This record gives sequence, C-alpha cells and structure tokens, in this order.
Amino acid sequence: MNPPKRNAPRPLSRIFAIPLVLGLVSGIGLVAALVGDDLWDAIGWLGLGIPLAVTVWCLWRPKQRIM
Amino acid sequence: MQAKTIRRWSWIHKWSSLVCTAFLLLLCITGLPLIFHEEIDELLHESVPAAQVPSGTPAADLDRVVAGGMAHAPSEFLQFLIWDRDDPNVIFLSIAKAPDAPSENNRFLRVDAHTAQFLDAPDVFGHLTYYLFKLHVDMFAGLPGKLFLGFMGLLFVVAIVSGVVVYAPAMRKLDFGTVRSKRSRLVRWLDLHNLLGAVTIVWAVVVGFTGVINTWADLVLKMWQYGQLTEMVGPFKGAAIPQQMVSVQKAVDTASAKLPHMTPSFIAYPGTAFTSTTHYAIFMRGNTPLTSRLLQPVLINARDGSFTDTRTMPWYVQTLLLSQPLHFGDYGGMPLKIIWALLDVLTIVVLGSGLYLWLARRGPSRRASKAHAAISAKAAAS
Repeated sequence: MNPPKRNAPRPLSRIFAIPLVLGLVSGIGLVAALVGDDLWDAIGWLGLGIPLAVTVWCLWRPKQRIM
Repeated sequence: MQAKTIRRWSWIHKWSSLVCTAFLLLLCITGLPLIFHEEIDELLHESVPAAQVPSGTPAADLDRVVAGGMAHAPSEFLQFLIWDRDDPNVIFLSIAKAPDAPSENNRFLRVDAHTAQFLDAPDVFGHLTYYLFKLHVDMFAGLPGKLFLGFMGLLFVVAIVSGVVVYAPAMRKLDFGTVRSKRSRLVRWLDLHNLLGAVTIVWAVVVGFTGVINTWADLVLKMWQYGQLTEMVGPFKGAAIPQQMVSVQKAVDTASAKLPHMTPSFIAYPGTAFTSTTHYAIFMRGNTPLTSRLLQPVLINARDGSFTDTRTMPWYVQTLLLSQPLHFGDYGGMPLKIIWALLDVLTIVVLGSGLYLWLARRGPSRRASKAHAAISAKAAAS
C-alpha cells in the first residue's frame, strides 16, 4: 500500500485474498439461512450483506467516485 | 501465467459470455420482480382473505374442504390438494378437465383451511407474474425453451469461472476494488466489471447453477416416475382410476400415522404425474427450514384406504428440491429477498458492462481496436 510499491505486481495470494474472503462469507450466508430460522437467517443476511457493503464502500469511499 | 494461457481463457470468457449475455439479461430482469411475486400478486390482484382464527384452531376435515371447493367446479376434477406454504389458513385445489389430463393449465381454487368455505378462483394466467414467470422459465417455448435456458445458464457458469482466471492478470497491479475514476470510460467500466464480478461471484454461481438444475425438473420427474414410483406402485400399475375414492382425510391420517414427525405438503390424486392411477400420494415434508424443503411420498390406495408404500426420495429429486430455495431466495424472510434483488441488480451491471467492454474494444475499425488494446494494456500495467 506504500506509494513506492503501488505499481509492483501482486502475487496471486494477494489478488485473490479479498475475493476469497467475500466468497466464503457469501457461501456461509447462503447455507446458514437454509439451516435454520431467526439467528440462522440473521447470519444469512450478514454473510450476503457483507459483499454488498464492501461494494458500496469501494464505490463511494472518498476520492474514488466512479462517474 | 503464460500469455498464451491468458489469451485462451480470455477467449473462453469472451465467447461464453457473449453467447449467454442476452438471455442472462432476460433472466435477471424477469427474475428481479419474481423475487417479490407474492407481494406483487397481493398488490395487483384482490383475493378473498381466509378467516383469521386463533392459533391452535383445528383444521377443517379435508373432505369438507374438497367438497366446499369442488361445489364451485362441478364438471372438473381435483388433481392436487396443496397446503399454502405462506398462508396456513388456505388450501389450494388444483383442478383439470379430466383426472389424468396434463396439469400445466390447471385452474386453482382457494378454500379456507378452517371453515372449508370456498374463497375464490384466482385467474393466475392473467397475472403479470405469470408472464414474467413463463419468460423466465421457458420463454413460452415449453421443455425445449427450458433446456435451452439451462444451457445458457451453464455458459454463464463457464463465463464466471473463466472470469476468475482473467481477473488475476487484470488486477496484477491494482488493489481490490480500485476504480480508476480519472481514466477513460473503458477503464472505469473494466474496473467496475471486475469489482462487481468479484463480489457477486459465489451468489451468481449458486443462483445460476441451481437455476440450471431447475430446468431439469421435468426430466427429474420422469426419472422418478420410471424409477422409484414404478417400484412403489408395483402390481397396481395400470389399474383403472377408481370411480369412488375413500375419504382423503382418512388417507392423510394414515400417512401422518406412518410419518408422525412430518407434515403433509400436498396430495396428488390418482391419475396425475406424481402418483399411480389408483393411489393418493400424500407428500410429507419435514419441520425444520431445511427438511421442510424435502418431500417423502406416502402411497395410499384410493380404493380401500390401505397403506401401500413410502420411501425417501432418491438423491436426484432431493438435489432438485434443495436447489429451489437457493435459486428463489425465499428462505430467509424479506431481508434475504432484498439482498437477492440487490445482488441481481449488480449482476445486471456485470452483464451490461461486459457487453459494453466487448463493444468498445471492438471499435469501428482495426486501428481503433488496436488503440483500445493499447489503452487496456496500459491500464492493466499502471
């Protein structure tokens, strides 16, 4: 993240780290809501809600307007 | 990764996406309102509400429910009796012109589950959600349309997997979620495509592939009919449809006694695709959110009310039944439906941006496309 290293190629583990975590929480969310009600449903909403929240943050964080 | 490998995967990503994009857009756009089909039907179409009764009120005798409904359709035949999942006060009667007629165009009668009073006969074929549903499921083209959309769904899964591979070189010099807002429109949309593709991927694969499984439902039913159902029916195969049938309430009581930990979900009447010509098939479901999706048929001889057989359904039917909630998103209340809708909208943006990237890179001439290639190469390198 340091400015001098910004353009250095990233290893695959770095490129896929965040997508992998988001994929895992999505998967947990998809299954959790199927397993039970109440708390399980809430885990489902959280699991699938996190990727949405990350999207919003990436698009609307300061100095990163897309349009 | 070698340049040759990347080129090969880019080619797979490009063509699998291009072939399926138009149909996937259709599926995402029609699927979006279908997530809320109950709410939309409720809003657009009046229905007679069932009596509100205190919890614990015993259900009406099913023979009275059937009589109450069928009095309003004297020349038609009952094919299925279905407990409404969403409203336990209502029972649906699915009726046809003959006991063994195809069931696709059946009419529905709603009957109060506690008072056995006829409520109404909703004109489902006139509902907006019916047109959306048909467009979504088979584009009004029957089984071929269904299987075709299933194939498009498989291509979508291929596009996603190849998208993961080409994501790596594109993101080699970028942090996750970077949208280079000061660069050309092409670069911005590429970044947006990569970001939204990455966040929706697991959901899109699950909804996409369970959708593909759903397109095989007719084939799964056929397999079950020729396999397990035939074995269960045994010597009764080909028997005539009884003129006089025993009480359906007694049949359900017998089934419930056999499977006391399960709840009846629907009843197939003799002559329909879900049973023999001489049995009631009482389809029982479990009582947890997961097992309530799984069904177990109990065959009761409609001539004398005797128990014939019950078996857990084979894996291919269970897979289909479990894939349904994962496709519809109807298993976690309204918040899950809203999340489903938002992820669907993001998927539409991924599809649209992918199409735009292809069009923009193609350009009006080779020179332009070379210039674009140079831009994207520069974009990927910076």
